[in-house]
Amino acid sequence: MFKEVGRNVPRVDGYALVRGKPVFTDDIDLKDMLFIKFLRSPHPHAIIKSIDTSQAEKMEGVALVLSYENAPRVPHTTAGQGYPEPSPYDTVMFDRKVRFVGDRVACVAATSPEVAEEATKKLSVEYEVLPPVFDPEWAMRDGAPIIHDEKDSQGILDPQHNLVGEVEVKVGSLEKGFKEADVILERRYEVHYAQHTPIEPHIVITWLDENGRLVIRSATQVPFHTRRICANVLGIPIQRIRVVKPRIGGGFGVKQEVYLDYVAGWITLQTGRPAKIELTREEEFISRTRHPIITLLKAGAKRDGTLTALDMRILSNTGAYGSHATTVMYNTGSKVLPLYRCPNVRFQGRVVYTNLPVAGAYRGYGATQGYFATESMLDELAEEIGMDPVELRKEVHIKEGETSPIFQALGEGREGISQVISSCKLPQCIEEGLKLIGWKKKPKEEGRMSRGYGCAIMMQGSGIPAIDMGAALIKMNEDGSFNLLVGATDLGTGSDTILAQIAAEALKVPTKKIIVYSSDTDLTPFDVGAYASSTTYISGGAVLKTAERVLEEIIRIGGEMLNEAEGELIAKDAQVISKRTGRSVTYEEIAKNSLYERDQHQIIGSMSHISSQSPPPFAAHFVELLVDRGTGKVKVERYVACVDCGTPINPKLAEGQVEGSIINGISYALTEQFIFDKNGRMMNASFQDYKIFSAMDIPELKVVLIPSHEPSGPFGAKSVGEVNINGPCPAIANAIWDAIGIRFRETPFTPERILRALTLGGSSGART
Amino acid sequence: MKVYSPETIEETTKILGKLKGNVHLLAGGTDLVVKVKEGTVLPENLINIRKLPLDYIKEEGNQLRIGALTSIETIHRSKPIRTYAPILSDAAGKMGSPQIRNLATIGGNIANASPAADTVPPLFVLNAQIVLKDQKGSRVIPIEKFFSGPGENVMRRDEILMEITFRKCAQSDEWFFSKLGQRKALAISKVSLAFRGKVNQNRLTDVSIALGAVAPTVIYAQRTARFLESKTFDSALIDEASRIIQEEASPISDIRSTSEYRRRMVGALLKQGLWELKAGVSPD
Repeated sequence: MFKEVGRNVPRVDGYALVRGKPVFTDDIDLKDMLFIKFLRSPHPHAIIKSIDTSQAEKMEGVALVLSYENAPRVPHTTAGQGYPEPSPYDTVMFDRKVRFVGDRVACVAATSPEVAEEATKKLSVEYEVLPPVFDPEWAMRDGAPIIHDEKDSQGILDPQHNLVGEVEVKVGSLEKGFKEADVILERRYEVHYAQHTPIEPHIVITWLDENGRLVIRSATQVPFHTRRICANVLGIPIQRIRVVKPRIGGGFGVKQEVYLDYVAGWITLQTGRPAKIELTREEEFISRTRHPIITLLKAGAKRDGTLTALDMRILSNTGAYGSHATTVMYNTGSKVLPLYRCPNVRFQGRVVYTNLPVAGAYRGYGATQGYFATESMLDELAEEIGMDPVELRKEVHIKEGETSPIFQALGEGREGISQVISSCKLPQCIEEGLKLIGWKKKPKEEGRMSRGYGCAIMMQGSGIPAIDMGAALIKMNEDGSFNLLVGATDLGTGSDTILAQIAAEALKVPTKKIIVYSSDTDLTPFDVGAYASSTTYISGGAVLKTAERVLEEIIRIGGEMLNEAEGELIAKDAQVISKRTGRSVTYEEIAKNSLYERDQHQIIGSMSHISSQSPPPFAAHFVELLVDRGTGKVKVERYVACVDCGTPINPKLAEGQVEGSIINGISYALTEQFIFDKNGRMMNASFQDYKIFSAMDIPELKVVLIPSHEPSGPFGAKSVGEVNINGPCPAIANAIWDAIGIRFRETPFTPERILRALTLGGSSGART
Repeated sequence: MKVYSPETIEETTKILGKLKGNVHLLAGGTDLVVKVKEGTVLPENLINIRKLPLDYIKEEGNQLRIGALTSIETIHRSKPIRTYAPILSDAAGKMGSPQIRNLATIGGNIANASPAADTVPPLFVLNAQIVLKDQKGSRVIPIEKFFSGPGENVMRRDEILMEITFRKCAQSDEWFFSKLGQRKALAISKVSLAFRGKVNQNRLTDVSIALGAVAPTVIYAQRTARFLESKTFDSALIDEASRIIQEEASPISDIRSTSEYRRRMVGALLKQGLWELKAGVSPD
C-alpha cells in the first residue's frame, strides 16, 4: 500500500499562504518602478487615424507612451500553447486597428499608477469608426465587416468571412444511423460568455537583472511558453529572458494567456526600469473569457436506448482575437463525443471572429459547452423513447476496455490518437450518485415550489497526448532531504504538494523531506505548464520517473556501503536494507558518503515525460433542486458528484478541485452573464453586477471519489481539475425540466427567463 | 479634497454652514467610498461625522429613537428593535454582508436615497420621521417626504441627518419584509416589499405596504393597502391584491433585472407573504 500517496498531506505552501508571507507576484516592491496603464478603445471596431501623445508625455512622472507608432509589430498568438502554436498569429502588441470595446489603444508607463491613469486620459486619439459585427452567424456572411484584414496575420482560415478555423470529421454513416433510429431529435443549444474571475487578477512585474537579462515575474500558468512568446515579440533571444512564477491566486485558464508580459518587458527594455502591470477587476472581465458556443445537435436512438447517430455542428465565437480558437473548437467534439457509444457520428466545427471580448482557455475548454448540448439531448431522447434518463446513460456511455473512433479522428487542433479506455468507474459513480441523491424520492410539489432531479455524466482528458511534456529534477542533500525542481505550475491547485507526494512515495521518504521549487525558467526543467488537466498525470509522471532513477542511484551506493549486490537490497523508510542480513544504511549516511567520502558526486536525476494517451477522468453528477413558480428562482438543494480520477494522490486537494468546479459551474448555470450594450461594451464588469456564487449560496455538496487504477498514470492517477465543470449546466437544465416540464436550451437559467417561460408555457431560449 | 473630522454636532453644522463647493458626509462609507473610488463622486469637501455622538437606540414612552450613526448590525441585533419594530430588525439582517452591516449606518442608508435601500420600506410602514439639523435648529420630515428621486433627498446642503423616530409597534401587528436579489448575500435588491397590518376576525386593518426598487423612490402601495382592508381576507382578495399592486409599481429595466420581472415580483412577494400570514402555508 501507499505511504505518502492517497494521504491528505498538508499543502507545502499552506503555512506561508495563511500567514500572509510575501508569496504573490505583487508582494515585491522595486526601486524606480514604473506603473503601466492602458488606454482602451471606446469603439467596437475602428481605425486609429492619429494619436497625439504630447500632452501625456509632458506630464511629470511619465516615462514612456507606447502605441502602434512606436511598439514593435510582431504578429503572434497570445495563447500559451506548445510550439508550433495551433492558434492564429493575429495579434500585435499595439495595432492601428481596434476590434472590441476595451481593446488596447496605447499604454503609459509612469512613476505611479495614478499618474499613468491620468496620462492615458490626456492621449488624444482620432478614430475612423467602422461597422461592427456581434452575431457569430452574421459574421460569416458575405458583406459582413471584416475584422482581421491586416496583411501580416497568419493562420486565419478565411479572414474575408471572419472564419478562424473549421473542422469536419465523420465516423460511420449518418444516413444509415438515422435510418436505423426509432426517434430522431434535432435541437439548438446555446451557452454564454463567462469570466474566470480569479481572486488575483493578471499581474506582471519585469526588471533587468545585474547582467542585463530581462526577468519577468508573472502570475502565469505557462512560464516556459511566456518566455518563448515574449522572446519572439520583443525580438530578443530566449537566453536573455527569465520567467519566474510565484504563488498564484487562481488561473482557471485565463492565465494561459501571454499578452501583458511583453508589454511590461518592452517598457523595461526601453527604460531600463522595473515595470508593473496589474489589471483592475473591470479590465480582468474583458481580458479573456469562455467561448460562447451555439450547438446544433441531431441525434437518433432506438427504443431500447441504443444511440444510432450523432450529428454535432458547433459555431464558436472567439471574439476579436483567435486565442485558443481552433483548439477549443476541436475539444468540444474530442472531449465529449467519445463518451457515447455511437457508431455513426459527424462533428463539424466553425469558429469566428466578432467585435466582442476575446475568448480563451477556460476550465473545461470547449467540453463544458459541448456537454450542455449532449447531456441535455440525452434527457430529451430519454423522454421521447420513454426511458429513465439514468438508465439511458448507463446504456450509452463508454466502458473500460472499449475505444471510440473519435479519439483517432479528433485531437486538439489536429487529428487525434487512438486509445483504449483502461480505467473507467463511471458505472460505480452512477450507482453511488443515485443512492446518495435519493433519486426522485421526495414529493414533486411543495407549496409553490416544484422539485426536480437531474443528472449528467462527463469526461475530460489528462494532458494532450504526444504533445504535453513535463520534466523534473531531483537532487539529494546530505541530511537525506531532496530538492524537487519542476517546471510544473501550481496556480493554487496544490500541484507542488501532489508532486512532492509522488516523489516521496517513490523515494520511500516522508513528504516533508521534499523541498519543492517550481516554475522558474532559469532553475527548473521545462514543463508546458498548467493546462489541459495535465499536471498530476504528465508532470507527475516525470517526477515519478526521476524519483525512480534517483532511488536506483541511492540503492546502488547503499549496496556498495553494505557490500551487497543490488538485487539483495530494498529501500524503505529512508534506508537501504539488505534483505539477506537485515543490515541497513540511512539515506543520510548514503548522501554524506556520496558527497564527502568515496567516489564523490551529487546524487541527482532528471527525467522527462510525455504520454501517448490522455486517459479521461469520469464523473456522474446528480442534482436536486426546487423551482419557485412564483419568482422563477432555482434553489439548488443538494448536489452530488461521484468522480473517477484514478488514484487521488491527495484526496482533500482532489475534492477541493471537484467542489471548486461545481460551484464554478452552478454559478455559470444560474447567475453569471455578460451583459452588452449596443456597442458590445460589457455593462456589468464588476463583482457588484456580475454575480459569482458566494459562500452563502453554496448548496449542500457531496463529493465522492471512486478510485480506479489508471495503468499509465503515476501510482494510477488521472486528472481532476477540469472534468467537473462540465456537469452543472446540463444537470440543472435536466432537473428544471423534471421540476416544471420546461426545457431550457440556452444558459444561464435566470429567474427572469424561467418566469417568462412559465407564463408562456413550453420551451424557452433556443428554438427547437 | 479637504477632510474635516468634527467631534460635536455644533461644530459639524458650523462647518456645513460655511463651506463652499460640494460637501459629502462620511458615515459608514459603504456607498460613498465606492463612488469616490469609481470616480462618480469627487468630493471637494469631505466631513467625517463618525466621531459624532449619534450611535444610539433609545426608548422614550411609546417612541423609538435611532441615532443616524447606528450600524445596521446593531439595529439587526437590538432587543428594543426586535421587540417593537421587528420588521426593521429583519430587513437590517438581510442587508449586504456581515462586513457591510458592521460599517453601514442607518442614516447613510436613508440619506444615500437609493430606491433599493433595504431599511427604507420598513421605515415607511413604521411611519418613521427623519430629524434634520442645521446651525439654526431642527426640522422633522416624514420619511415618505424625504426622497425626491433616485439618489436625491430634500436635505439642504447645510443640514445633517440626526435621527430616525417612530412609534413602537403593537404585539398584535402582523408584518413581513421580502426581497429578491441575484444571490443570497451582497446583492442589491431587484425588488423589496414591506407589509404591516392587523388581522381582525378575518379582515385586514391598518394595512401599510411599501415597495423598494420599483420606482424612482421607495413608495407606498396605497391602493393595494386600501383594497386589502375592504373585503374578507381570503384567496380571492390575495389574488386581486397581487394584481393591483403590480399596477402601482413603475419599475425600470437595468442590468440587474427587467421591468416586467420586477413588476410581477411585486405581486409574487405580496402573494407569498399574505399566504404565509394567512395560513402559514403557501398557495396551490
